[in-house]
Amino acid sequence: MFATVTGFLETIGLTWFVPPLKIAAGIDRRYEARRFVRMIGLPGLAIGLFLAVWWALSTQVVIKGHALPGPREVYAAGGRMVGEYQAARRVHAEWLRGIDEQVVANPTMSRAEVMALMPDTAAPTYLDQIGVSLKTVFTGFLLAAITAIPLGILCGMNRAIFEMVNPFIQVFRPVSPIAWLPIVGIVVSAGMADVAANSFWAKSYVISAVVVCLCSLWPILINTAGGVANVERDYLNVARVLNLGWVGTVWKVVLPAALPQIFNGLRLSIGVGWMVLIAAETLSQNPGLGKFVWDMYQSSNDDTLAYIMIAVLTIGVIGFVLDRMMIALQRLVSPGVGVQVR
Amino acid sequence: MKFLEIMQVSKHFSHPTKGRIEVLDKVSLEMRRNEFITIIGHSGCGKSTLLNMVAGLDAPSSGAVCFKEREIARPGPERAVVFQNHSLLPWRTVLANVMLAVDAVFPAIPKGERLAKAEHWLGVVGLKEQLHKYPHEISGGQKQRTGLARALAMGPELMLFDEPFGALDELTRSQLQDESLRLHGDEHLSVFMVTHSVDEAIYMSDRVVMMNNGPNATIGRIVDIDFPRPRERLKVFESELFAHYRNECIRFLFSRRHGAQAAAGLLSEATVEPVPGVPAPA
Repeated sequence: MFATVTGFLETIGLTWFVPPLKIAAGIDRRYEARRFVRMIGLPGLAIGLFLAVWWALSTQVVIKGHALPGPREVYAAGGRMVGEYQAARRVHAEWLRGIDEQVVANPTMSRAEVMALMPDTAAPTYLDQIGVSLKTVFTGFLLAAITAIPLGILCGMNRAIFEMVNPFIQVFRPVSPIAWLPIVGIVVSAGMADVAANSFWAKSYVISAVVVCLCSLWPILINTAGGVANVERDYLNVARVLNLGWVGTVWKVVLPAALPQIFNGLRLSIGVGWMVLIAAETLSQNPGLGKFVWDMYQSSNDDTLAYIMIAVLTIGVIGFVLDRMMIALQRLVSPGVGVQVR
Repeated sequence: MKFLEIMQVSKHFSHPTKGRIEVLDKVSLEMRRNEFITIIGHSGCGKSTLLNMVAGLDAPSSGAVCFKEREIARPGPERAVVFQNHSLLPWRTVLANVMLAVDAVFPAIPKGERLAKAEHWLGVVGLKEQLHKYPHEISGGQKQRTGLARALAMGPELMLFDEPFGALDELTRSQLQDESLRLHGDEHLSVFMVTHSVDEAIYMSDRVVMMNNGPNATIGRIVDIDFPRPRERLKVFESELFAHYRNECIRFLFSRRHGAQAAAGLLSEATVEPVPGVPAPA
């Protein structure tokens, strides 16, 4: 049981939790202690050093009359943001209660009609903004995966298709998200002229998601095509001897064999997508983390820098978690294939 | 009905820098049902190409390969291949690898019977205990056994062995040779094998087919091996007849090799390369 748990943690890439668990259980103490120092001690030391340097700088540097916020100020600002979030939750709960009362008081009106009359005017909280960003990045990412994986399989299986698709890959892959944005903006705005601004499919959300898709398409496409094209000849010969047919060969041999590299592409792609998203959000005004950073930049006050630093950290940590998720998924779907965690 | 017929088969490849490479030149050979036939020759003589054409994985440039008097156009499970490097699918367990074959070849029979079939063949090759292990968890010999079980599970009429024991250590190799011979007897298999080991060829086959060196390789000589079956390793290897066959094979392979390469000016008469499976002369 214990070995199963630690084995699973190792598999999905949560290796940090293994040494403390094993040390507590008294398994391989010396070895696990060394691992603990290497995996947790050394990074911890480096983070400590970083905080010390940051703090030292913050006491010295003054920008436009504002002191550079140190670790402590940023932490405090984080606390205030949590407070603001809790206050906003209370306001929201209040609003919901108000709606309930009105629904009871006006039996002729539906709940939706009441809500339309009394819209929620509260500004989105930081957590809401994180939610919007995640929703947008996953939409773009899924869109990219749905298009690029099948196309990549075709490219990998058929040389002619690859030669036809390749020029587009080569030319469009280096295009920056900032360059895509105006085109996507115009096309989406024209296509969605009749869609209400506050619906689920808000224009800014669709624009951001499409830009994320356009930029994260290529790593998936290239890796899928490469993975499929490099499936070992012998595996394909096995499929031929068994007369598996095209669909059977793709499903039972090609796809599983290429899966590790497809996941490599997916992993790269969600990293790219997350970076692109922040840029896209600042420009398209999608109410996510990118817009938050932009708004903070526009409204210069004492807390601005601290808030932006929190946003930067949040963006970094979420990017890191997304990457880990992809690694864990990759390891779960293709056991026995080593993935270097770097 | 003729079982396997290779008729005037030639094969050439196009190479981007070397141009057209003639591998095989009008090779003809016939094989009977239940026969164990071995193709031997130096590397690059096109013996694997010949096997691939019998498998249907490759097509002749001219001539034809006929199986039961029908021209071979594509691969099929009735001509099962045991591959050189086992080529098990690494994401499937031993059992699942064999099930892939059983499911593909016998889609009509019920799932339970298919499973029993796969387990039966894995039992025959001695892997009853390893059913749920992945290829990376078993030894090289066990992998090759799994490959053998997968081929047997297709219910083939002809087994094609593409140097299946080449990558194994001497002891494992002998074991698998003996077991393959046992299977050849018990299951009435017909085996078409490619190897570069003279000893293996003589010990296992009814006929040893020796190829000239490529390019333009042809069949140089065929030696009939008259040991009775079932064969006993020690008896065979210690017999004078074995030494005689071996000399015959080595003489052929050596003279051909030197002839061809000396003519090309590649090899001086003084350098004698060891022949696979034969100790170097003192």
